[in-house]
Amino acid sequence: MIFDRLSKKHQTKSCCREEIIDVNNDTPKVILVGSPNVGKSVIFNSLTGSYATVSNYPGTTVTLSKANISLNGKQVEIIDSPGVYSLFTITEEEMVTRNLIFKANPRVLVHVIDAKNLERMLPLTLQLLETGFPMILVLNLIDEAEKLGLTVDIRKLTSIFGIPVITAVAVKNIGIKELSDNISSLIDNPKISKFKFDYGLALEKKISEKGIGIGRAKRLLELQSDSSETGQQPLIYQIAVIRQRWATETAQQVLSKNENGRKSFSHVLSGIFTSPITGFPILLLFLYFGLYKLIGQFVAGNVVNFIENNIFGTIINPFFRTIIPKIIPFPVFQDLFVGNYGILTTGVRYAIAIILPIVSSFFFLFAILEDSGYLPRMAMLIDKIFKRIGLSGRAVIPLILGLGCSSMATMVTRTLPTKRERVIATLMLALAIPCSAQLGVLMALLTGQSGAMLVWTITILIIFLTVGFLGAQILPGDKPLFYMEIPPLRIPSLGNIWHKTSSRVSWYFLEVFPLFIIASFFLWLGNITGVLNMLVNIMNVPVSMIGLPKETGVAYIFGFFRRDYGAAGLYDIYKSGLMNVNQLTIAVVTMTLFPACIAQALMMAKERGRLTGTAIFAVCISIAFIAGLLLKNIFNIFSITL
Amino acid sequence: MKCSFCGYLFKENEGAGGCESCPIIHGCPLISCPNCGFEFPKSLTENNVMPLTEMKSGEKGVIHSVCTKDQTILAKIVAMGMLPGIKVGIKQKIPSLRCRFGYTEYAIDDSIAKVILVEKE
Repeated sequence: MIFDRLSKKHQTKSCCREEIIDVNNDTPKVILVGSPNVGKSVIFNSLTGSYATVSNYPGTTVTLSKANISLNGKQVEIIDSPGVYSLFTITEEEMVTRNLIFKANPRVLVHVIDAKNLERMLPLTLQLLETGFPMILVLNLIDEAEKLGLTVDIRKLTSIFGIPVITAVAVKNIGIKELSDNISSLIDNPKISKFKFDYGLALEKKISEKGIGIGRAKRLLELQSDSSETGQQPLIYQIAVIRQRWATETAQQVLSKNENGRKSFSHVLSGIFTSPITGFPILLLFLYFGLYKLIGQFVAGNVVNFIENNIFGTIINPFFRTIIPKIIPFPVFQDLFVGNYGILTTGVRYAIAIILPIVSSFFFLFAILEDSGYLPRMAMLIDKIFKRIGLSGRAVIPLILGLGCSSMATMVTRTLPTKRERVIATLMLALAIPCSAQLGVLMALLTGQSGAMLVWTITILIIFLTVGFLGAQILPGDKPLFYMEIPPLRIPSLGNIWHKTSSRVSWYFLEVFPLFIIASFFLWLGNITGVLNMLVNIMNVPVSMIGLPKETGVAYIFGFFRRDYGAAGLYDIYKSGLMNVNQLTIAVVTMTLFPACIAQALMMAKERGRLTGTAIFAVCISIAFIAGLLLKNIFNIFSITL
Repeated sequence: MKCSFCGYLFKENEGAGGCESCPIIHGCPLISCPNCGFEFPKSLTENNVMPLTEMKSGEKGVIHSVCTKDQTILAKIVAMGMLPGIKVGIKQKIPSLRCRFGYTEYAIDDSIAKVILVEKE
């Protein structure tokens, strides 16, 4: 059983790899579809025993996840899709779902809906029925509906649609068995619902005129994007109103409510988080205690120090320093493992002693944040400010996630509705949002230097706002619109927090560890061939212009490959007493602004296109250098010593 | 009649001129200022229909219609299902509008909210 689970875990997707769905293979495909934040991924996880990230904010799933399972002896491919409100799509990730449905020829569509919101989700059920694939309707979160005093007449619903209707509480694994049984029997015995919705004479005529040889669903979509009609309400609106009227009537037929409207505790809490008077102080407290005290001081300070000094400093490094010369007779190759930039003494130490504890604690904190439903509340709180820099409150989610891992967050910018917002958010992620490893190390460096901390915070804030403001003026496009579903506050489940943190940490670590070893190898190679010295001499020009010691050049060279390796390098240089506090401040500011690591650069090029990606990269380097130069001169002119 | 944005004075029948291209010309409770184009509600005391932005925190109603020429906004409203017949309740107005549609809460900005017309309970 445990082995079973473990071997399945290997099939799970990592954060940033996209699952390729082979639409032509013969394995029967089952697609989970539904509005955002109804629990499709939870159902996917319980059906397949694998792990797709689950959170409590709309837009957690931006790509497809798939897993092959065996149902009653048959191989079945289960696909989890990003949430859509309707088949008439707006954002990029919604397009992913729509294309999948039409291209993959699914054997079963599973429409997952939030039971209490039946009325608002039935229009999508209708649209999915029109695609003509066999379907199952899952009323998830039925417990939340019951708490509100709502009961659903399942029999009636089944008879209206002529498809299986199942109630479920996916997080508690209720209804999953019934669902898999139904999927299995639908695959054996495909039944297409005979339900046909009548849009009325005038519209039906238009539908039948649209395109020959394509299904009803596609015809309706074409009709909706047709804006040639004048003198009447747009067709997209007419069709939506008709569907909604039907949905409201249907919901009234099957839903009954016993009035016991009580204000639950989570409602009160929700108000506290979103009201400006209490919301902003809570946000600041969170930043102070969560980021600064817990991660900056405790983890990046105490925990890292302990592992560095007590484990690596006294046990591991001395051990390798004595053992390696005994195994390898040549001093040059000894250096490869235990020298100045040795794989064991530097690469492994950076990864395990510095990066691992910081990244894990960040991912843990964010997992709690994501699952509680706080992020959308933060988004609405900050929307008005973000409008000034060309973003909407929606962008809070990728930017906050960027504090964890910028590459992951660059992918999440997909959920932003306009290209303009996506470009600005990507730029911000590369420039002003340090990733967890970097931020942790930087905070550890600044702890105790309140002056330096202040200068760093103010500089980064000014750059964030100025660049955003200018970006918003320069980039073409409409002003962003803000709309976001605010899910109920939920108490995070420990199991999911653990799952999410551990899968992200292991993904991150597996990605970072080999790179750190390769980096150490190249440093060693550069060192013995003299290339490193040459590069450091070249780097010395800009580095000395911003007033930093020559040694920091190495940190910047590797900052190009991974910001966190660069930051960890700075940490070493500062600890060995080569920089004063002024220099430290300049170094930390420029390292924060320094562009992405390789992974993020690749992600930028993939999501925004090579041209935009390269431009963003260049902008970041220039701004980092200029900011360093300005700081140095300001310190000199006003003879400030921090 | 006076525009509540630029202060321009005009007659009610002049105001309709701004709406020529709008498909929902009859029964639209908004009036558009011929000077600056700003849209604001006529007095609507008889049928109690008003834009979502005019409602106060804690008030409830049912969506009456969606009134906009802007295809992007309309597509979003349609996609989110903020459509006639759905019950609405205002939860908070500052710093952003937060309201309940059916049993789901949304935060939306004023440019979306002002075109959703609600019949107040």
